[in-house]
Amino acid sequence: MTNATEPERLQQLLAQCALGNQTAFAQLYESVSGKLNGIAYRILHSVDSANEVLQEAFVQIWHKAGEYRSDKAEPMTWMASIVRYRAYDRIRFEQRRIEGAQVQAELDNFESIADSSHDQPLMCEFGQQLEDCLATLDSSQQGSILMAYYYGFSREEISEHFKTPVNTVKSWLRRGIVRLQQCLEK
Amino acid sequence: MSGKINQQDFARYFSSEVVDHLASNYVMGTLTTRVRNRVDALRNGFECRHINERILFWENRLSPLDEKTPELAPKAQTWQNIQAQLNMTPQVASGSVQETSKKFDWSSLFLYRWATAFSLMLVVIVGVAVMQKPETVGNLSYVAVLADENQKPQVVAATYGDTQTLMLDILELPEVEEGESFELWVTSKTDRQTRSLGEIPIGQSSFNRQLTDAEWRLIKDSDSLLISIEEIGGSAMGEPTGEIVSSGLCIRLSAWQQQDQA
Repeated sequence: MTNATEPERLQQLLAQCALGNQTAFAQLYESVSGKLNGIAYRILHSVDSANEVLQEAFVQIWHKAGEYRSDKAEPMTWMASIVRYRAYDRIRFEQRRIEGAQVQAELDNFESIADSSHDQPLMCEFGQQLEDCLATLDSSQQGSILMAYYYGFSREEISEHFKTPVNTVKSWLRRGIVRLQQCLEK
Repeated sequence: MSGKINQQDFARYFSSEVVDHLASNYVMGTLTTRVRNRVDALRNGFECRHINERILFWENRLSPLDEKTPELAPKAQTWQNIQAQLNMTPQVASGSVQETSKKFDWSSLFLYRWATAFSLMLVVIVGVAVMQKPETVGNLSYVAVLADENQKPQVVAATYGDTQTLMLDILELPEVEEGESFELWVTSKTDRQTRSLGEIPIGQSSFNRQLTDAEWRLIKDSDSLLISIEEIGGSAMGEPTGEIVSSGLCIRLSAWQQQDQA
């Protein structure tokens, strides 16, 4: 195991979890909980809520480890998706979106998410392509996609922010996704 | 149940346009609960594996955005809650994890792991820098190696808890224009806000100053430090406005020292 790459190591840990190996589960938690908690916090903006989502997600990871397919997704992608969906559920359930400066800070920041010029290069092979493709979208399309995925904004919240009808936001998302897909599949 | 689908609706889910719309919005979290439940019911069924494939496509393609998200150490209690919820045997499941969390919090554990990965850099750079400090300064509490975008170390920042002193060893920083200076910032791990720790004098190889109580609290809650180029006098906005030239994670060392001394 010492020569395994990080994804391979995580795959092995997930496989062990599927067999009920609790030590492997602890190692998995040690390896990825900081990153997954960061993703939950990014959406929820509450340390307590992020930790609760992390807890729910790890319980799910333990129960569903046997369903992970290494030929379909990287281990982190699979686990991060579990966390994101739970965080989206939580923020919808709580119907909580912190108003004012924090939202503005998020919105000020979303352009920099797509623009990696001041950030470390993305790790995954799709990273550069995603950045390039996001850069080809209109700012409203790019902004609404990032606000939704990255910060968990609902379509209604995006519409409120841009002071535009929800149907317009749906249109931005739909057209943005179509263009993104065409670009990503080139 | 809202996730159930009748035969008429079912045919729609073989249109590639509908499938891609549903899959992409599913991954972005923008479907209503009712539609999302419906997609959940579909994606797990044999007939609609194509929907699952498209969901996986979007998860994989958008996942690089998650790579950029900074880590946030979870509370020690979270792991204990997970173990309790799963009725796990603490001795087996926790292993080194629980033993470690008794000594210091999770953030330290992860910073420790980070530090392990960069141990060579820390030993060579931090070790030498720390050893050269006068003993009267106090116990080293936090240290950060600030590096440029190519991970080349530029500044070693160390704080000493006993005297609340900040010490900077400036290895290499870029040239600045006349009228510009460097400003040091700390990013909170609690609220992710970046706050100033003041300017760094130009042309000095080392620098130290006393931190106020408020600044010391910022250090104790620090996730990382960074340096930006600002106009002389510092950023007027209370946040970095110029180019970020250097950054690095803040590592808490006091727990290890106490452990060593015990």
